Amino acid sequence: MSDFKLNIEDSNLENDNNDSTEKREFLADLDIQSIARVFTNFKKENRILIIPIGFPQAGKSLLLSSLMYYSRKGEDTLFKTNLEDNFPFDKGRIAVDEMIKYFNEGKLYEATAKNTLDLIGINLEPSKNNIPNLNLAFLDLAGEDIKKIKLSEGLNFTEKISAVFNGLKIDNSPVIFTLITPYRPALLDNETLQSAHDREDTLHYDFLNYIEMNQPHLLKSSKFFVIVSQWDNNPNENEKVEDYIAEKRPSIYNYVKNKNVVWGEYSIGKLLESEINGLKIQEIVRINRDYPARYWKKLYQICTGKELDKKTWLQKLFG
Amino acid sequence: MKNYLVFFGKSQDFTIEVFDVNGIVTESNPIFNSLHLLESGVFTIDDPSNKEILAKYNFADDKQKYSLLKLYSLAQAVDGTRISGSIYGVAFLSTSNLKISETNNKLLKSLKEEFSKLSLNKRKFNKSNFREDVFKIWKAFVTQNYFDKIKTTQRINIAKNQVNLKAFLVDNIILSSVKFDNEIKNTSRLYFSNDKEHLIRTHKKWGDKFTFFENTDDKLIKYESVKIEAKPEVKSESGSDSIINAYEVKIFNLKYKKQKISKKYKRAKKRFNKKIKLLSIICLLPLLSLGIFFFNDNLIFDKENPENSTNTITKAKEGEIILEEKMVQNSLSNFNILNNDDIIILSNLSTNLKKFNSTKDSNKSLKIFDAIRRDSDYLHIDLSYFDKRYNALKLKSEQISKLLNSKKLDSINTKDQLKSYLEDLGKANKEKLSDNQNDILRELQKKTRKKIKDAN
Repeated sequence: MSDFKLNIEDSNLENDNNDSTEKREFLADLDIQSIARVFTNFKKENRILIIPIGFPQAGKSLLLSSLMYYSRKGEDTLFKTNLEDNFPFDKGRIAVDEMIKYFNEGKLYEATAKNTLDLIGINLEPSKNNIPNLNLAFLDLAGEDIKKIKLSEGLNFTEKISAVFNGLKIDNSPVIFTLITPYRPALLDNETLQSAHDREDTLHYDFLNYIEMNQPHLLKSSKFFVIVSQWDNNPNENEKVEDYIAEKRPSIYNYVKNKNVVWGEYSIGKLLESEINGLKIQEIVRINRDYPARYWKKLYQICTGKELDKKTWLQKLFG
Repeated sequence: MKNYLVFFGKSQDFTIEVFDVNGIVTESNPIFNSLHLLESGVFTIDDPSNKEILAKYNFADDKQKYSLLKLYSLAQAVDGTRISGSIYGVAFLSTSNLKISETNNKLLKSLKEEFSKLSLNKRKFNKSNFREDVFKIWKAFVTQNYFDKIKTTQRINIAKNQVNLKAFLVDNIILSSVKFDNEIKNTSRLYFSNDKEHLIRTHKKWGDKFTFFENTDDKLIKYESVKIEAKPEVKSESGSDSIINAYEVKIFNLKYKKQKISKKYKRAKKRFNKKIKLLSIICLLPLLSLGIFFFNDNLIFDKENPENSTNTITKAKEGEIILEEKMVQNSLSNFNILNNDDIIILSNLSTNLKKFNSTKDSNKSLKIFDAIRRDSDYLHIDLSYFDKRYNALKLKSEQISKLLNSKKLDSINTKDQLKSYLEDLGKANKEKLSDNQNDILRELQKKTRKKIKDAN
């Protein structure tokens, strides 16, 4: 080992150092002011931001994976999508490629690390000529950062998330908050299932309350989707999602029941679970295409007021 | 200079426990603002086969420069099934430059092993809150004065571009990484691993943003992605488990395909049936229109010629009356609008119609017809068809009554009139009469014959 000679001067290492000075930072690496500035451009670009909100392991990234997979590989002919490659969407673009790769392999996409701001820029182009294109951006955040909004965690978002909101409210840029809550929340130590449900309920209540009390400008241009993820865990086929939310997430239900909110359940597909060497491993063996199809259609309708799959009377007649 | 000992892991949510030589450090301490770096966003866990990773970061926040040395690997959340991004590890954080030294690395290795013993069951967390466990480890660490053994140098070098990073493929991350400590002068983050497949996958994901170097012929060679395209294999220690798992997946996939095909078939069949129905309706439409057109014409025609409309039956002969009864019955039974009383009355009506048809006794027939008329009035059934027969029967009955009146014989005196009267009685005798009428008839015949005899 002592005879090992490092020839750093002649190696590619040096060249790499020179190249590295040109490397650009991702959105999350910027300072707070620069992050906020990025989001002031959304209104000008006619772009709507969608932010999944949920605890760690609620299924935020998996929902995005499912949507991205469907938008690229779904059998839908109603629309096609183009992904933005350039800053501030560059890291999001890498994330989307990974999400689709993971989905292809039947793996669950990786947990989102703290302080992540993966911004996915995606432009939707309907197949019909007479309805408009839709520019969207999905912001993937870590559940650990989102849960800071809970009263018990300090009732405030991280500086970076706050910067996003500050940027958006300059022009009252439209935002869709997708509140994601799992059908069966993960249990902490000595926690009952009911306590876990209550914990979920509290998080979303605190979030809604925060938006209303601290971001009233943002609220004006916001819409809400409430999605119960992991619906494949539900053994009762007759159970309706609204009933589930009313029973298991009463605070959310009471807060938004009279508001313009979209309810829905979601499942990325059927998962095969095995235990190998002390690890529980889940594999997606049946990818669900109905839920992402419905989500895209609803999203388009909410954003544009038009329907992706509106049929003429003749089309309706002939199915 | 201040040194911290940090335990971190995604036991459920990503959790960090920080200690200094005096005890636990609370989240209000500004060092927490930088601790998100413990959860690696770049060279992270992506597969159960991943090996341990050693990393060194030098960085700064608004006020302070920091050095971080961390050792981490896979550990799954206590109530989770995810692999990617599931990590646990131990780190030193310092306001001085932490050296990648054998001592520091071995200290981290020992701490991580103890952490694993207390908080993990194999490679899965056995609890979501590991504070009590790591407190015990910290206590032992302090008692044995290991804080003093952490190797640091005074100055923290921070590269201009803080997002620049480098990884090294080394034989042994604890021992072989030591000689690359100075590399931190050129870059902000260093990673060490002996898992080449993991490094390749990470490079493929990040491209030039994640470069790694390997020792070849005593030189450090930058890995070029074009060289390797090998698909990483998931290596399982338990071969049979993975084989069974693979077969289970195959079975699931085949079942899924089967289900998908049958679903498609059902959908296609449904669509086909729908189209056939539609086609039939479209074909029937012109025919129906024509039918309606002619039907309407008939209605108009019938209104203009009431005699030809509903009463085609009036043209029927008396002998066809049973058919007409059936028609009445059928037309009514087609409409399920009758109540029980109606049905009983209708049944009586039907019986009486049969009796009316079979009875030759005109008086009896007339009585039956009275009952028929009452029932048909109740049911609003038109009886005009029977008028002719009823009138004939009534006339006949009246004629017979007149004929059998005893006063009539008294008023006849001439022989010819008596003979004519006797002939009429003979004709009446051929008719079906009541017993009483028969008796009167026979008596009148006797009296008429006697009167003719007397007249002779």
